[in-house]
Amino acid sequence: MACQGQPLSNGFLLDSSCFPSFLFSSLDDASSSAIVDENVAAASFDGYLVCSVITNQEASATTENKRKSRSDETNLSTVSTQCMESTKEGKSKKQKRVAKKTEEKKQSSNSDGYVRAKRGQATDSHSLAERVRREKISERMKMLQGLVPGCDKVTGKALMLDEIINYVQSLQNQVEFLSMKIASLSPVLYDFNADLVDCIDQQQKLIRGIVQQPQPCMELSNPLQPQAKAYANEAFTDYQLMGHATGAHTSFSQDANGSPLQMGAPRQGFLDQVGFLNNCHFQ
Amino acid sequence: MSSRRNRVVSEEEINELISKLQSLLPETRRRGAGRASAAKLLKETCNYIRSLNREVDDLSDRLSALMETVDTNSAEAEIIRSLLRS
Repeated sequence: MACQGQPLSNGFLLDSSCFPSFLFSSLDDASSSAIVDENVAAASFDGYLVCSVITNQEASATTENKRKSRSDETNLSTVSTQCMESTKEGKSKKQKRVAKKTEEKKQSSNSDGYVRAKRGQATDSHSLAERVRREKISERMKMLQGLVPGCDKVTGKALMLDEIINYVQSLQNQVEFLSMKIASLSPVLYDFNADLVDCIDQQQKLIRGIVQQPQPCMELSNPLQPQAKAYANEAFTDYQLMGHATGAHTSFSQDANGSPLQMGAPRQGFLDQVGFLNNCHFQ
Repeated sequence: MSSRRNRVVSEEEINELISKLQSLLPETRRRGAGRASAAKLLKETCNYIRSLNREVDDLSDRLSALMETVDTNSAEAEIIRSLLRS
């Protein structure tokens, strides 16, 4: 986009008919373009100064603008008033719109004086609103591009959305994997005689409870932390295998009492639940 | 990717992707929720990704802390370690 100017934060757009066409034609006047540049550059989108530029333009009244300026003289005062009002309001949308249109006009640079939008875009309110909406969406997409690793090599909305979806899913899997590991390490706190559905619900509650508990040793710098994260990153894709492995372990230890995997009954039962839960969640 | 032969992606495919994304987000999983606007969805996705990252960091911290406290010579610890290694 050639004209970045001031992005519209609220998407409010004024119809181009709000501004009489002489406004744009005056600014395009070749003879006084130097003045325009100077003032617009110095004004930094202050509506009052832009209007004063217009006033100067009108005062000089070159031949090219006479046909427009004569008929629109009455409009000048209205526009000036409007500009003054918006200055009193402080930063207003009208000022931004005027400034944006000013920049657009300077860059499209035609001489016939009619309202002309940027190259290849319409000026009616629907298209403008649509354009703003598209800009908002692309702005958000850029933000997401910064968040999602590997997304900056991808171009096009569809591919980026695909990438984003994959990333979100992988993050969700990571979270689930980590919480399962934590749950399996934590001491068991509940009764195992409940049936499977209840156990799954309780498992979930336990995980959420553990996650939300304040952790007293968080402030200690933990050398294992990057390791644990690395495990999470590498190993969660092998979650399926681990689910099976856990199940295999428990079934083995259940059958043979003299196995080296001798654990207390509650712990083993707990791992049973974990095994079931693994198989339920990851098909 | 389901693109047409000449690699043009239709509006429909993009809408499909957006719906898929919407189904992943926790807020908008209510049944019968209509299609939220794309801009809002993208903003929700940003926030969700940030919160997921925070959660992963948090959980990794807890996990590594737990790994330290577990008796490193017990059979359980060995199982957990082997699981993490695989």
